Amino acid sequence: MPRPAATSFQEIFEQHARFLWRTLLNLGVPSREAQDLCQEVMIVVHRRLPDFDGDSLRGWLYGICVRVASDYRRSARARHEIPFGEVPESGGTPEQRDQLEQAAQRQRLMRALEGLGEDKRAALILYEVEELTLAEVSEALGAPMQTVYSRILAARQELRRELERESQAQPGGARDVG
Amino acid sequence: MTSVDEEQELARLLAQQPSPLTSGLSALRDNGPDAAELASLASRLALQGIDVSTPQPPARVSPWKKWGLGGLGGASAVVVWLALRGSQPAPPAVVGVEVEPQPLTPSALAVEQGAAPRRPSNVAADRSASAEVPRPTTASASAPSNVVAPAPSPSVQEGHKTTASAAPTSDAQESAISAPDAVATRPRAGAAASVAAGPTLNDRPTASPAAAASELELLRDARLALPQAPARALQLTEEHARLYPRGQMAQERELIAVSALVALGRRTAALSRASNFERLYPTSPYRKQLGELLR
Repeated sequence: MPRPAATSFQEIFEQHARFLWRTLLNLGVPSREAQDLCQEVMIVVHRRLPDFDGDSLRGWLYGICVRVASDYRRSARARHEIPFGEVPESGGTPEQRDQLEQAAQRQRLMRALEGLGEDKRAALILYEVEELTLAEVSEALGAPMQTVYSRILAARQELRRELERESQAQPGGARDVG
Repeated sequence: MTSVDEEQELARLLAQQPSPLTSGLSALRDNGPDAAELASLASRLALQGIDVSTPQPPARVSPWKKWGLGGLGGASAVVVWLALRGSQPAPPAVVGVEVEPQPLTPSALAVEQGAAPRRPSNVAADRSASAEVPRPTTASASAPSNVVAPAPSPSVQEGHKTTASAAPTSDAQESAISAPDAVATRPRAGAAASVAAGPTLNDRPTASPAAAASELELLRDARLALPQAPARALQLTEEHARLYPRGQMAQERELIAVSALVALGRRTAALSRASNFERLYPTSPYRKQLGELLR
């Protein structure tokens, strides 16, 4: 597939910065570090864009994002960071309750995602949350498509088990895990 | 089997199996920055000489432009808007998020559509999300690109080495490196804990428009002053620290301050400040630039 002509950094920022930031978060970067790391991603993109000659711009961009997150997570682990806080069980207005429920669900998922290996987590996030194609995920992770497929399958299975285990551990019993 | 066939076959197999993420996709997709945070990111890149200005979408052509005054009127409005949005402390991502819908630009999605085949539901998701992207226009254009040291180029591999001590929180970073009277903590965007604590839009720290606008302006002026008047640049960074002890651009301020100290020949003070910076911001993309300054 031909590369889109003359993609500018400006277009990349406008079209992708939000999603790259979101991906950093979903790959386990704490929110307080996300802006710094997204800035680093954009600096790397800015520096390397003139040399980009791949087929998939998105695969290339997310590949940089995954590597920055991976580097960060290694350092974060060394610092024994605790990435998640607690969400209270009740809110005020219906809107606040919805938001709290959303936040609680995100935390539940993020805790479960923490249990996946880095490669499986990245494959799952890029394919299911960011909806990259398998070819794009393959480029981003530098792995063959068959490997990406296997990682997504394994990630789904592990995630399902973890969510089921967590829901059974909660007082209310089992929850729908999708 | 070609790679396209292989991809289609694997995608078909994956689609046949339910994903445990299905019910939580919206929670993960909402896990992103708001417009103010993106505007702040654009400002930070602009201060590094990376222009991320974006054109105004045609649908938003103002009457000024019709009258031939668009260049001044529209740009000024965006400068004020961006400075206001970029200067305020980042709000929590869920509670208190302000979303200002923006019309989709004609070029929206063009990059991605040309780059790779899209899975159908992604286009809709991108449309809604793209509408939240701010239009950081002239703040970046107004930032000089050649005032201080060149933009750093940290490699991905060099990015974030392990540090020996526990990293302080950003709140601690802000208060420690800024004015001593900094007490309150900065809201953390996207942090569930912040959501849990219950700050709402009404609880959000406020600043007068004039004051809020000047965080970016102060640092821009400081960078402009740096080559010819480093003492003035240093003074402006001190003023920034006093006015914005919890500002979003404390790292940029410190970079300018260290540059000014180096230019003034106060190397010991520069080293001390840089050391403090590295301790407080162990993952900052500015670390390499600081190292080059002090080499």
